[in-house]
Formats: sequence, structure tokens, C-alpha cells
Amino acid sequence: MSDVLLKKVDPKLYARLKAEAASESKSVGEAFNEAVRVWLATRGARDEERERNVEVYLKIKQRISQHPNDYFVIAKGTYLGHFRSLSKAFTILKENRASKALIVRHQPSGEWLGGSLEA
Amino acid sequence: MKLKECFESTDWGYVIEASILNPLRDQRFPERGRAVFKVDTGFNGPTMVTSDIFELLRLSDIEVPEDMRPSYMTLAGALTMRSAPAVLEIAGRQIETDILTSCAGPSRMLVGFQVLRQLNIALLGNRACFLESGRRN
Repeated sequence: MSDVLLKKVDPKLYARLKAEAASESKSVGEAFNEAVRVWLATRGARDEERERNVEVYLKIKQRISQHPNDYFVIAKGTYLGHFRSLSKAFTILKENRASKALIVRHQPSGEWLGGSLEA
Repeated sequence: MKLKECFESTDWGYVIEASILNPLRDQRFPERGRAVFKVDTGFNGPTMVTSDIFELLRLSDIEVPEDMRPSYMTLAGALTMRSAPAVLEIAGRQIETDILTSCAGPSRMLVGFQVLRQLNIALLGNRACFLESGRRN
């Protein structure tokens, strides 16, 4: 278990959480964990496989910036390697019969000034 | 300079035609033929599509995590984009690129500078034309 300091918590919500937790003889931390589990479970757009892939991504994230031209491939909760070409990345995914994946490459941000934005 | 193919816009600006392939699903947009994209030299990103096309291509299955989403500065502030890798079929070539759509705010069907710089293209009057390859230094 981690000790976490949260900022900008609504004091009224916190008071209610504390009261509800106390009424069920739970600590605020236990009630918080329960609430977060429910919140995560209800986020329909996220499925379990993507969550597993994102967990792996977070573990290797630092390596991605060290290889800015490579595609890092994660599927089925497993890191499958990094590749210079996108076609190779897709080939690996097909070999692994993946239907969902993270294909991550360092992406610089940029500008969108004028042009089609004004239409 | 030899012109290969030209496109004329029905309204303002310049357009070209292309299609997008999600190789993981073998999903193509459009299924047959090509779609029209604005030529936008003011956008220094790759390719942008509307969110419904992004979903139609099932790019949400392979889109980058939220903290890797690129953002683009506009005159109205930063615009964060969803992004997924795919293949742009354009001018007889296949270009590996990122396909973007905005999380909130305007999305367009357009080709930005990251792709345009890889093409031999000329803006001639009201037409955008692909040039025969081998003419670009």
C-alpha cells in the first residue's frame, strides 16, 4: 500500500467520504480504493487488454525517448520489441495474432496555424 | 516538370486524394477509391481525419496512450490529438504516418506538412498536382 498526498480535494466530498467510511468501519484509504476501483471499472472506453498494455508501456516509457525513430510494440500485456519500420511492427503484431496493441513512437508536438483551421 | 495527376478544389484552398490503411485490421478508408484531403501547409503534423473516420478505421485499437498524445498550438491555444500509426496511400506510394484526430474541437480531413514534404507536389493556380517522381532534389 502507498501513502499518497492528494491536493485540491473538495472538502465536502472528503467529509462525506470520511463519514461513509466510518459508518462501515472502514478507513478513508479503504473507501478511496473502493471508489477508484468502481470509477475505473465504469470507464467503458477502456478495456482490460488496453490497461495491461498501458501498464507495460509505463514500465518501458523511458526507453521510448531514447529511440525516437523506433516503433515500440506492446500487445497482450507483453512488450514485443522496437522496430525501425511500421510495417515490421505490424508484421510482429500479426504474427502474435494481436487485435489490439500499443504502437508507440516519440511524437513531437507542433503548430496548426491558419490554413484549414479557419474554414 | 511533368504533371502526374491534378486535383481541383470545389471550394477554397487545395486538395489531394488519398486513402488510409490500418494494416492490423486490413481496414481501408475509403474501401474503394480515394477520399479528398485538404492540403494544409499551416499544419506541421502528419495527417488528420475526423473522429468518425478514426473509429471507422478502428485506429482506437492501436492509438497511443493518453500521455503520448501530441498537441498542436493553434491561435486559440493548444489542441491535443488522439494519434495512431497507419499507412497513407497517396500518389501511388504508401507512406507510414501517424493519423490524428482531435480529442475535442475541430477535426478536418487534411494532410499536413510532415506528409507534404515527402511528396512531389505543385500548387498551380487552383489545382494541386502530383509530379512525376525523380524530379525532386
